[in-house]
Amino acid sequence: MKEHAGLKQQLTAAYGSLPIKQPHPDELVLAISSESFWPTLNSLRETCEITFVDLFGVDLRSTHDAFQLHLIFSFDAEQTWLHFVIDIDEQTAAFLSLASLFPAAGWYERVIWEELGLLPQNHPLLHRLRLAPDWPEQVYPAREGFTWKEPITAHEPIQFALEAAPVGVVDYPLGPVRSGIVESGHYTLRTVGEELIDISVQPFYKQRGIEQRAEEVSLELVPLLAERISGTSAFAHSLAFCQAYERAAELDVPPRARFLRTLLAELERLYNHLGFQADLCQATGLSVGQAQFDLWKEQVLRLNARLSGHRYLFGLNIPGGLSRDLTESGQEEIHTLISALRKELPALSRQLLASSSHRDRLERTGVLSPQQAREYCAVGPVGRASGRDRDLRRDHPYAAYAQMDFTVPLLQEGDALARAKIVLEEGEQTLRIIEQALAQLPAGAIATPCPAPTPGESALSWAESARGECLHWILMGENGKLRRYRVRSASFANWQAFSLAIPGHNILTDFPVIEQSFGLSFAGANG
Amino acid sequence: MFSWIRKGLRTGILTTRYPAAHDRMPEGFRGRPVIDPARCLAGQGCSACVALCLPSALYLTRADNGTGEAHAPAASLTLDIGRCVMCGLCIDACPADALRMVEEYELAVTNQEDLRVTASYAIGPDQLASRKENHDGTSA
Amino acid sequence: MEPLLEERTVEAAERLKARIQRLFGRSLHIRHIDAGSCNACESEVKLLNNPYYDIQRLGMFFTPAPRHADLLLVTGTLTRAMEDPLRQTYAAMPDPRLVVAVGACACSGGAFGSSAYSRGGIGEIVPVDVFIPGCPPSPLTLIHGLLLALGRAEQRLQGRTILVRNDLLMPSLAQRFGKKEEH
Repeated sequence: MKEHAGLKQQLTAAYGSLPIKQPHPDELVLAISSESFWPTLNSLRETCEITFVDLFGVDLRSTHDAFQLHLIFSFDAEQTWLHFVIDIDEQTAAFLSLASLFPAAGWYERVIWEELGLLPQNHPLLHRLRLAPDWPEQVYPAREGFTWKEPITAHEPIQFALEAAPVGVVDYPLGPVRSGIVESGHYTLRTVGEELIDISVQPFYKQRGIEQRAEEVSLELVPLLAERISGTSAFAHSLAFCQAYERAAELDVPPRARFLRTLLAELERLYNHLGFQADLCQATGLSVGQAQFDLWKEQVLRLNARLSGHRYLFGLNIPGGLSRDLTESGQEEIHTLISALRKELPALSRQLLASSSHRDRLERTGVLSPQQAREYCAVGPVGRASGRDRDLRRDHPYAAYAQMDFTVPLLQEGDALARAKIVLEEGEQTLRIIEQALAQLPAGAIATPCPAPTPGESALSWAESARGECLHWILMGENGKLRRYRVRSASFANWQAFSLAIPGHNILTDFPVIEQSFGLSFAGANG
Repeated sequence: MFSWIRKGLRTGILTTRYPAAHDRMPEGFRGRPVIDPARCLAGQGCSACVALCLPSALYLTRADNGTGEAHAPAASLTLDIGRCVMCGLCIDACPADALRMVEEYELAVTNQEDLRVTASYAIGPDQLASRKENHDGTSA
Repeated sequence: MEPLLEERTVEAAERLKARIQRLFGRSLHIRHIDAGSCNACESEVKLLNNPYYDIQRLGMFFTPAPRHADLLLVTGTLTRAMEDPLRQTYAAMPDPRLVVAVGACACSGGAFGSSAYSRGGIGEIVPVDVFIPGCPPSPLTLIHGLLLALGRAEQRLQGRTILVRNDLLMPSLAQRFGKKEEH
């Protein structure tokens, strides 16, 4: 059991005699009332270094006569998750908004409002967020009784109108169908002459209702859905789901599975980071650089296909371990590719950062200040480029990361160049981790039989995908199905921070560079 | 600038010659599933693959024998590659080895019906005539 | 009487060929649209321009403007919010134009099917000329599909119905393999 003297003392001081449960060594759970949670969170925020991570709601009216809010913080100093559970009764169906204490909570509260129907009082901007404009009012998908498969009648579209631009200011609409092979999403760029002064982002065109679908299929099919939340983070998402399942069933996977999961997760990070540099080179017009990074990305994808039968590592994670083992020849191939990249990547990075046509467009472009990154809880490389020293692999180790030796790069400038440098450095660290995982790979089984968790069991789990922290939470229901599935992908957390990087000495042609330097996924945020 | 040109030239030609030459996918690549209707037991009431198919790419139609019985033998089993996500769960679940994964990658078609292979079970001449399409297209 | 499956395939191929013959030269400009994919299909489509696949050597280019495009390459399962943008993009394309559905999602909804959130395939909104299955389809699969759209490749898959005499074959096989299901 971990010692939580510091955090526990502060919690007892803030919450008096309320029982603090510790279902797992790294998670403290407190049930508090809706009246007391706002003032005490305020005092806790001032005394403790807690980081806001997630806020979501569950409909438990059929069993507990109330809705339930889950509020998750991270206390990095002790590698602990702080999990508040707040009951909201059906009559009130409201709670005090946390957006004034934690600006990042703004979007999460809007999602609770539109999906569950609980009103966040005093919310600064209460509009629909993810649901399509023609989604009817009063149809709450997160409430029990909503059936994912049933078509619903379309409603008169509710459009969120921006205030009219003043004279001399031009609103430049971009999307959802944009040039290039990109995902669909809309930006309204507000410009004065060439200079960008503001942006309104609408990334939510791709809602597929994955959480709701997962609650209607049998448990063994949920990893398939988890993979398709964001196909380029498939392994990370399915890993987080399987870990949540294993945590709820109180099962440890075999050591070989833990190391293999680490290795495969790093392969996914590797091809994503190589693709990131290729996309950034495309944005700055450095075609040869783009081709070079694309070559390596293709090589990693082909390696994935040889190892697992699928270029994007779909279908590997199962609750209890992995579905396929790594053969001797597979290990050889990984070793060959990693050695080649070990030689090539530093040289390519140096060449990239020395190309003034590329570097000049990245320097001081799209600055996300450390304070903004902290307030809006930016995660992943974006956060680390703006001074947020967080990486789940080091701060809340999972799989075999506790046995890996790697550094987490950190910069303070927060511009596109910092983000590019962080991703390059992380790529090199990834190569180190893969080599260590190969060297330390234990023999043995790759999976243990995993019984379904008992109905009513819930568990939190997480993974650091290429774009940042992903959180999954499950609540087991009857009949071998989930009662509630909650996914918070890294991109959802970072889209809020994206709009803050636009104002401030950026011109219109900087926009593609800023967009690619964030490297966010629309699909992940939509769910 | 010149360093990039040198780099590009040194990399050489890596382009595939497809379609002039036929590339092969690596062994174990999940191209598409193939069904062997002679081995399939759907005609005897088996629905192991259908129960596991998330996109309902494998689906049964049932003969109308008037009883409305839940586990009546199937009239046909269809594999629709247009819905398939190539997860491979059906291959592992089949008790009769009627499904296998092949590494084919030339899957495009002009007509959606070309993506469907149906094994039709003739239970008897009289039931051939009275068969009613009772589409059971949903998974668990 | 309904035409046989083979006849329908031949008819569709003839229609497609007639349209293709109206496309000038052997070059193709492709406009991509994401109708709600998971991003894996986009990643594969982007790789078509990388040095390994280089579809420009086949005369195929990506264009940002639907008005300059010959072919609309659609990924994704057609979410509610993307229905109008897809219609408008297709309407903005001048004739002759082709539509290719990329991936299980665009062909039929894939892992998502039709639901309160999405249509489950683009076929109801735009006429589709070529369906490319896969989740995601690899770049070679995509190249085959694009060449098929131009009449420069052969279709490999053939739909068919196979009649199996249940009473003759099944009992011996059932004995040999055993059954996991009860009936």
